[in-house]
Amino acid sequence: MSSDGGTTFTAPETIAETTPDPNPPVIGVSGTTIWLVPHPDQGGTIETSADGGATSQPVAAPSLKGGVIGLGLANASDAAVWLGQSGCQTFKTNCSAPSAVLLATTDGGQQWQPVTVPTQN
Amino acid sequence: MYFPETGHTAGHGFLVFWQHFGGVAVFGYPLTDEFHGCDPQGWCGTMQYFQRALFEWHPGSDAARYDVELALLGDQLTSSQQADPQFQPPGPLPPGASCIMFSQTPHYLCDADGFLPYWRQFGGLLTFGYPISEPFGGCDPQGWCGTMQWFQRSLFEYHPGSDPARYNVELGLVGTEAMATQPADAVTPGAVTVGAAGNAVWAVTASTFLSSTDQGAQWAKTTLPTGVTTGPGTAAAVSPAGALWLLSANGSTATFYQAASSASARTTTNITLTWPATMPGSSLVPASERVATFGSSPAGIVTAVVTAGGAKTAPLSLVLLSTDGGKTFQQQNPPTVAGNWTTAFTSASDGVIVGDSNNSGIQAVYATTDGGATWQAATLPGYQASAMSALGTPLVAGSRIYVTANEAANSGGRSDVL
Repeated sequence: MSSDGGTTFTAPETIAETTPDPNPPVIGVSGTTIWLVPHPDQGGTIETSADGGATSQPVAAPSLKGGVIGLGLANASDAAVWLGQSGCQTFKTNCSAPSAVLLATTDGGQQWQPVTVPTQN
Repeated sequence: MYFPETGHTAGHGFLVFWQHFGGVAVFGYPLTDEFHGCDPQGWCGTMQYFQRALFEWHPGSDAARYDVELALLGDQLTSSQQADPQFQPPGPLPPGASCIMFSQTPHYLCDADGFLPYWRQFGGLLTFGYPISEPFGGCDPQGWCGTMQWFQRSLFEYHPGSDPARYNVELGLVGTEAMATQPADAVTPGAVTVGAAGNAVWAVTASTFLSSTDQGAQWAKTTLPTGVTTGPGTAAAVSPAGALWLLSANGSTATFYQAASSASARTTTNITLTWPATMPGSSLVPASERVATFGSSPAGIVTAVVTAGGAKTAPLSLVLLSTDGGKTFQQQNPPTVAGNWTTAFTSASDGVIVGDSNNSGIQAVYATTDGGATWQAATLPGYQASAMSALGTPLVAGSRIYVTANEAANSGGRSDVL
């Protein structure tokens, strides 16, 4: 974390210490609350911190699927994630557009429910 | 590492596996970037096609091989040929033949034509799998004809005189063929870009900007104005108050669209991109690829990175910075134009950019205190930069900047917040 515009950073706060994904964790911040998806390719768990990362705790989230691309954190219990996992169920050249899925939680990240995005018409 | 031969990048565990276990001779060049998908056997996860293999990342499966497994492309490509004679169990060996019988399949692997010594020396079971046919005379999809033998993950071809050090064996382009034979994927015609930040969530389709400021409970639709095109890589954002921002770009122009809300008037600003006259290592192919990424910033500050490249061009990036809410932009170059970058600013002057300078595959953080005119490498205590480490998109929260990191990814490392 940097408080001087990025010139210097504090020592890292280790949020998870298991085999990580090839992709870095996905993070959401609201005030001093931090949520982290440590394994965005796998899902299944999040790490939450209420003190800016000084301490954290894991939250089992079995309904959080893999393929997490982004995380928006509204407050200490509500968040939304978007997944890009379903765009290339079978491979096709130039298949680079994810058919995105949006999930939301209102219980601190334990249960994630799909959010229905209205169709175009 | 960027491969100009095919215009794709391999990184982290996949790159190290490629380097350690065979390189181009065994795996070929990457045909795709890393992506999340499902293989023909039904396994889903992170994968990447190469000309001669499909890499799959299976966390925890085999740390010594960077948790990388190779898909059974040989099985896949020969599934309709199982009645052919070469796939039937073989008869007795001719006198003097030097072979191994694999009872699992069952087929012979023999010294003749160099297939057995090649299999032993250049990868064995984990790389090639068991033989699933006998050697036979045939033609590959690229038109070469000669002696060949199928394996679970590979196709061996005997090219007399081609490379004695490798037993004159070359591997068929099973990755290329597997990609070509996949059924056309119906990418759901829906959202091409979806994002979330705080209570705001949004989705951008081909012609509509859907936005919500209450985490998706209620949505508003905005038809995009003529001239604003969307597609993979289009960047969008919604502020907590409901303001809409969208940026699309090609190699020469970035188009910035904004509206105070879904119901209010909108403005469109075209920003001409100026690239350095001399591109590092290659020349830009305008409009061949576009990626536009918004950075997280406080009110009034809008930052974006526009990345362009082509089939033979490594990614090249420019930084756009607005300090008046998007009315005007100033273009700034990142530390090196070559690379994929993401950015975040805490004020009009102070910010960071994160990426792999010169497409090296080694990511770093650079900071600016003059609005992006100059950049200095930031100090990241405790972070070991390497090809096996990865940094995430920087995130601003108040006056703080957060960067996530995986250290020694794929080899038992850890996930950090910097």
